[in-house]
Amino acid sequence: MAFVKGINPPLSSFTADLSNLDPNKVPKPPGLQGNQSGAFIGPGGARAAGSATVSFNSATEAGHGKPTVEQQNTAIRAGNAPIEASIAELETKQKHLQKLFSHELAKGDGVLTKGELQRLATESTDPAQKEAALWLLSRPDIYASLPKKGTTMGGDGAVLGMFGTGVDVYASSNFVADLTSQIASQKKMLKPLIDVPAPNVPAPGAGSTPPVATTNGTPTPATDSTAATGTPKNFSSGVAGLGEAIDGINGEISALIEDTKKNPANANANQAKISQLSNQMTTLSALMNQIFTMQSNLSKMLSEMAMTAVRNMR
Amino acid sequence: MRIELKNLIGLDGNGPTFAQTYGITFDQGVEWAEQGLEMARDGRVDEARVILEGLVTLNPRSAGYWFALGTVYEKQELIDDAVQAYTQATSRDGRNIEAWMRLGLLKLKRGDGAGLEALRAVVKDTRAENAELVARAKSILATSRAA
Repeated sequence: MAFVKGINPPLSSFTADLSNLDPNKVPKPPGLQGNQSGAFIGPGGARAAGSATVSFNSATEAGHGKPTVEQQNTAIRAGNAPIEASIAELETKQKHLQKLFSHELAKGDGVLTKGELQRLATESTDPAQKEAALWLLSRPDIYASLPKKGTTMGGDGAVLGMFGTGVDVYASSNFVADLTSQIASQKKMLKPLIDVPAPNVPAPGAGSTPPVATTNGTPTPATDSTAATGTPKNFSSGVAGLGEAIDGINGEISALIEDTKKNPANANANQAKISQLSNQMTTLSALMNQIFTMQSNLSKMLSEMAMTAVRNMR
Repeated sequence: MRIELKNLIGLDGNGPTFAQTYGITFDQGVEWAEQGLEMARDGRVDEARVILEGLVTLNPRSAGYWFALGTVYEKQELIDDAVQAYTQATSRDGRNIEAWMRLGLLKLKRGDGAGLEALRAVVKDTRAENAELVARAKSILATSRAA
């Protein structure tokens, strides 16, 4: 795993005794001897590569088990955010263009020249109209994207200049209607948030499970639902999920490659994501291979034990 | 509900982990971590590293996995990587006193004065089971002051 190396200015004056730096010499805290401190170590206390103790406690180790409603909603919100931003942009566009095209200047010939827009922006007594004109003047990208008089969409053959030198906006109610349809289509893409479940009120007479007392009398913190229900401990029970994760990452990489083909402007952002996903996929594939190896070794070991036991019976 | 991968933690920092999305349980993760640590103790450090790097990819929110990975990196003498792993462990769980201790010692070994800050985090711990570790951190801090 590659980490970005930090810059660490030397501490030349420091002379503390660092003779115990060997991780094998890290003393094990007395409370952790023999995994007696269940409240701290939890079900998964283990000795690290040195002699320090690693604590795995489902109550403090977040990130396993079913995603919380909040986490799922965070993911949904993250997915909805760009769509909502796009809808807001379209709605602003719709609101302002509707306002402008309903003005008598536009009603006359279905056209708003830049000069007329400037007139509206400075002289209109309708604040909304004024705001709309200012908005369009500040957005040459949108102005340029509107159907122009004299184009095939405008259709009247008028001589056109460039934006800023007299290009006409073709006032088309169809164009505004098209925006309405785009907004409706975008809104369909929004995913609804998940409702937060109501507090679980126990039925009358139903008991709750008391916390389990540990050897030192400290109640073990409540565990998450996954840990509580438990999974038979073996090497491979999570391999299916691991395989699914690898497939999922692979699918996401393919989707990003396709997106890059369709939208070259996204190439750099997509490449960064692809790179990260590829690293994650490589890491998880290596983990899966390692688990298969462990499983195979365990099978061999069990077979050898069984054969030895049979031989000893003679 | 299948959560879109692009919203997973690691890409935007929010959302569920791979472990959560693909149903890899706490018990299963710990089982693998323990196997990895046993391998490291048996000298099979490369294999242990594969397992623990996989676990932090599956669930980067686990302080325990980061700490375990840090100890493996130390075995491999990848000190910068170990420091990063311990830093992740302490940021995920500020009460992971072993991670603070290792972080402090490694930083001091590299001549980084920030190691003293990590040791100060150790001495703030008031849990009785950590008394020995706290005493050792205090001793190192006292030596550094004397120097």
